[in-house]
Amino acid sequence: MSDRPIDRALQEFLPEAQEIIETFNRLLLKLDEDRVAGRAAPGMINEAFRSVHTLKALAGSVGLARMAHLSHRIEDLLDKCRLDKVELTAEVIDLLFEAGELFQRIAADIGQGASSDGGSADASGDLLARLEGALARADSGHRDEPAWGSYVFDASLLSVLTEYEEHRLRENVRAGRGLYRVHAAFDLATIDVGLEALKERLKPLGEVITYLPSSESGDPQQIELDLIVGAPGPESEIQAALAGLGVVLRAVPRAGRSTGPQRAPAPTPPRGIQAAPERPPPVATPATPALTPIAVAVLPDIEVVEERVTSIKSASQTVRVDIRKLDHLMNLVGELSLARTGIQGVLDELKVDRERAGLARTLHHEARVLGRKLDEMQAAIIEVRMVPLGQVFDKLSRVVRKISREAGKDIRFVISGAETELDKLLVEELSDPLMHMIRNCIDHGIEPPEVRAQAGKPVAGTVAIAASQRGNHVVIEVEDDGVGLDEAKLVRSAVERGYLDEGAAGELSRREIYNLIFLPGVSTKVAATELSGRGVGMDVVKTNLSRLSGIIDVESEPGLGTRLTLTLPITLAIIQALVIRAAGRTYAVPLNSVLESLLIQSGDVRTIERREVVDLRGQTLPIVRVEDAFRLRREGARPKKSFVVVVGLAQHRVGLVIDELIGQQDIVIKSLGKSLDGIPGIAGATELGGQQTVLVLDVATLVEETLGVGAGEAAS
Amino acid sequence: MSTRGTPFGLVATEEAWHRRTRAEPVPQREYLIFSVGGEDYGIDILRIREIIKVRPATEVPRVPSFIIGVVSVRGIVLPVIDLRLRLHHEPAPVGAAARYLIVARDDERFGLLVDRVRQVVRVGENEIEAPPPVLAGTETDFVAGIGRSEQRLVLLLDLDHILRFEVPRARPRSAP
Amino acid sequence: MGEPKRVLLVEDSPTMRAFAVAALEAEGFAVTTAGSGFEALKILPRSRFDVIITDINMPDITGLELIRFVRESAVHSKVPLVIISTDGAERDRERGLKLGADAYLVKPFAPEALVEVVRRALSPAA
Repeated sequence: MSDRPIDRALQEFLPEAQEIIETFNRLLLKLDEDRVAGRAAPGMINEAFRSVHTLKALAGSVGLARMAHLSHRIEDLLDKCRLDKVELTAEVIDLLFEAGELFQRIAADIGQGASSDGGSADASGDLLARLEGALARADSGHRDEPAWGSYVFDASLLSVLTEYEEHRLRENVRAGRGLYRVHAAFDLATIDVGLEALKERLKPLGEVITYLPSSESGDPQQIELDLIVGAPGPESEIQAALAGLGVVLRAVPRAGRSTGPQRAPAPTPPRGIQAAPERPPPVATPATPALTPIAVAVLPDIEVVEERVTSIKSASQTVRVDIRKLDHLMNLVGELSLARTGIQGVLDELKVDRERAGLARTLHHEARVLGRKLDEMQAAIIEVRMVPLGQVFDKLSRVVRKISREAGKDIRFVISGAETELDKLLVEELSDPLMHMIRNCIDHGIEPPEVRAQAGKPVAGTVAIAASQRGNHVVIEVEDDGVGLDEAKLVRSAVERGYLDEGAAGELSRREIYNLIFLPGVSTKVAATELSGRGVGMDVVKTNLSRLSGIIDVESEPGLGTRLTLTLPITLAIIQALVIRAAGRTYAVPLNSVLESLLIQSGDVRTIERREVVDLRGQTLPIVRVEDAFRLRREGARPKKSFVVVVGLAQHRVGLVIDELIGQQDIVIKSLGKSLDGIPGIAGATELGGQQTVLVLDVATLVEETLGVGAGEAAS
Repeated sequence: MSTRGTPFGLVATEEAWHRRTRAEPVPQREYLIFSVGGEDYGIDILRIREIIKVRPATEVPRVPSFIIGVVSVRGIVLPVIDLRLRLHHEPAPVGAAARYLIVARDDERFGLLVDRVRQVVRVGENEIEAPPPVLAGTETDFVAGIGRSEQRLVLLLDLDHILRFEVPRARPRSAP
Repeated sequence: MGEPKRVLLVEDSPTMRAFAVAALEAEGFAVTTAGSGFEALKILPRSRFDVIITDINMPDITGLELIRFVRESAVHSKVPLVIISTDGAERDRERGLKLGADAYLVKPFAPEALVEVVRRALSPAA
């Protein structure tokens, strides 16, 4: 008899029912507390609902008809409460308490051997009557479901919500909370812990409305979840709370608002300045796409507030960390990666051992998790190094005030994109170059007030600085509405300094002429004034920026102004490189040292004092063939056409002769290991796509070797 | 006394088990045996991190000829040494059985190109003989001792010596 | 006799679970149980089932979310899916059927009813 399913279920009914009833009563106490304190606890009402819901099914299954009926009606009442159709008043809570007591009595009776719940017929009948009354009153006065507001939900999301979840979503919209989608990927083995951690972080911030699982990744060891969260606080607060969990936070899109994670405002057409019309350069220059002029965004006037009040709260939540400590952490992560590789070695041995196959699988899995966490850790440390450019901009605005007073000019300083983030070290190194650039704008760009007035310009000159992130780079534009660069003066100055001869000057494009300003000693000022005497040449600015793998470009329009565009990597861990081929080998050349590339025929090469040279706009450019420098054996003959990549180290120029330009790529430089580090001409290695490892050339030592500059003779 | 059954019906006693594993007072070491240029060599297994198939190395200029180049193994770039050339054997094409042994010195990794990986043997420390002063060629520099495995002589290599080599270095650069 | 049909039962009440398992095992089904939507998510990618039975009203991952997950998964996109829910949850049940569940059963149910629904879900032609 006891083998019948119904009997087996009955044996288990009592303990579970008692547990549910206890939970139910405990929840009621909490709900009452919250009600008195004026707090709303939708999650808890839902829990109470779910407990009687289960009790109903259980009671029905074991034939306890009265308990089933009573819990059904309690469930109905709580359903209306959780959907906000009935208010959870003292009267309603009293009814629920009574029901809880009655459930307890029935369970006790059963425990003492009663075979049915008939003993509490009277009590439950009385309670049911009052329940029906409460439910009837509720039905008359329920309110409409709130609308979606401006949120845009896709149908597939709504279709998967339960009625309650949908209601909670609407309630969050009604309350004007922000709605977010938190995307998280969990390993099957650790999902419980991971999700618990995520819930813990989210709990104080708002309400998790639903969990949407997906198997998009296709990785059977992973589960991806989208949590829909409603929270009253700002997005940044949630972002901060979730830091380090490796989850992606996205605001739920709203109609008529921009979507996606903080995008820079769309660039407005440049005011005044047009990209200088260019003659085609004398030879192909595929190496310079990074220098394409980019439209500047002159944003609505944002006057600088000198003293920014930072809140006490944010100060107390910040710790100052010596950047060397972060470097140390980064190194530790590197060492951990090595240790992980060691584990992999052990694992490979284990795999061979058939008896330990199970162990090997487990270890394999753990090693994979470890590897992924290490990657996350590395990313997190890089993130910690990031600081907003606003730190430098604030300093600059004080400098602008000072310089403009000294120069007797009225300057409006416009800042945008101060929130753009950059590696802390880069930000530190940037402040001097930026200051020089801005000083130049004020000293040489902006005209004296009386000149401006005559020209019909506003008396106050504008200097604007705008930063924005583009992929792995940050672009900073410094623009003035001053007099513009004087082409004639630039060319004259360059000729005087011996960079150009008169004939070659005529061949230059406008852009090339403007770029003369980055040559040492070249200036638009014929006589050094007091101010320019103190200023630093743009060549120094450019050199300093090159050290940061930064690239600077200039555009100008006579009478309308000048714009300097600065492109920097977000972090020095990633650099831009030109991928080239020479004698059948592939190399990467850091783009920061590449000035331009030329196409040459074998006849263009001359020999002067046993050195090969080519002519570059009237200048003699020493060249070095990569295959000669590295003594590479070439299969077949040299191609008739070659490329010359003009590289520079400070004022020195050398042409690297190569066979082919492959393209431009962001790379991570890796060391060749202690034994091979420091080989002249080799800066390290990097991995291009498809497991291809290539060497990164060290331009500085190649230039030194070719020219014999620096200490002593060039080693050959 | 408990016994354990084996799939073949043999019964080994716990005692016999312990006797076999315990009664060896001489410290033993395990060596990975591999061949290079027709000779068998051994390296202490503890120095070997992994054994991988040969993959194309990226040529590095200005290094001794026995350095084939660098390869990237799990994101770490490491030099690969051709043991044939390092041990003064004749160069030969790389065969299908050739492997890279990934070995470690401190926290640095190296790859060693070998013709074939044979087996792992245990050698008691008392079975290792000092290398004779004159061996064929000059490779004696790299041999730390001679062991015996299944009647064959095995040259146990001095790994640290093999991994010690010089490359040209750029002068320390002065700041621009 | 062929291989026993493999059933995944997702239900958070242990009593209801025991009840359903007893009914199904008595009829020769091989039953795997999950006590929550999460547990089901963890079990699903590692196994294959011939039929999935799920409660709707569960904490965190609800039956509806599970149904969508199952329908989008590579392995179980076509597997018959049975909802077990109580009366009063009609709207959620409707949504479950729209998301691709094949049948439903109202709790409490007789063991024969469960077996009957599962059998019909397994051979829709009969």
